[in-house]
Amino acid sequence: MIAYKFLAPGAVAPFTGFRWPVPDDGPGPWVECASERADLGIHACRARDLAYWLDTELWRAELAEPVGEGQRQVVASRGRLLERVEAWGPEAAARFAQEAALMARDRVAAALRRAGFDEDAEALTRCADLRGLLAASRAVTSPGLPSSLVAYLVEAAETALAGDFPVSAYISARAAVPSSGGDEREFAAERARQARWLAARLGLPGDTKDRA
Amino acid sequence: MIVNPDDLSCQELVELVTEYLEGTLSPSERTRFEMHLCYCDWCRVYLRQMRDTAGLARRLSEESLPPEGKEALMRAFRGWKRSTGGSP
Repeated sequence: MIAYKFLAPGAVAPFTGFRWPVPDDGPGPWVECASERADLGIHACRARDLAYWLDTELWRAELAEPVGEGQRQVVASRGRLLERVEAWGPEAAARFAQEAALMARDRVAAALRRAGFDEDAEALTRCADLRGLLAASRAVTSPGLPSSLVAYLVEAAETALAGDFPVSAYISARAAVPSSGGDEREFAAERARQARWLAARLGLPGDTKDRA
Repeated sequence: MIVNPDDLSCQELVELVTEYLEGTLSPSERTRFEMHLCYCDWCRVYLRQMRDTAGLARRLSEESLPPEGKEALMRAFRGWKRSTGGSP
């Protein structure tokens, strides 16, 4: 099946430090990682789970059947890199973090309106970029719900402006929970939405059992 | 406490780090552990330090310790036992 792998610079697996052999005029060589445990082996993710595994490089990968389903990932005993997704880089990551932060802003603004803080909500929705969001969020000083909600926006904007895009996108997704009144399922829902945005922006096909 | 299957706190990660390095976490715990690392630079650094420490410790043997180092460690352990109420 075709899946995706986020890797650290140099095609290095972020958790094991394994340096993946990269494709050269065709698919890369197969890598084997056989284990008696079904959850160990070559890991990759489906397009719908991209937002959970962000890293510097994104690769399209092929996993040999049988492919097991894990939590937010797929696993097989053999895999190889097919090609790097060139559309994913610092610029795309910055755009992604900004989009996620502005979605968090919309959720926070909606929660503030529901609670009667229309003025604070309006101030937030007027900003259109991260610097504006940071300034508008810091300017919200109403105690209680407004202050607790905009704290997420301040952190999301600050980390994105500092170039820490995975952290920023995570904070934006976390903001979905208090904005909804505490529904933890909103976190996964926002991660799924982030993943759809990524797949669309990067031109990735949807999740199918596409065999190369 | 609400536990999100897609999330893990830094404190939880610290508590699980030994089992992660030993490969004894359940699939679900390992996944949550690694998802946390994707957005937490501090925990990445912590994990790297723990890996390095474990790697160095594996290379140590009793014979490799100089006598004065061994004696200093023994003194520290005796003092620690006394201060925590253990028998010397």
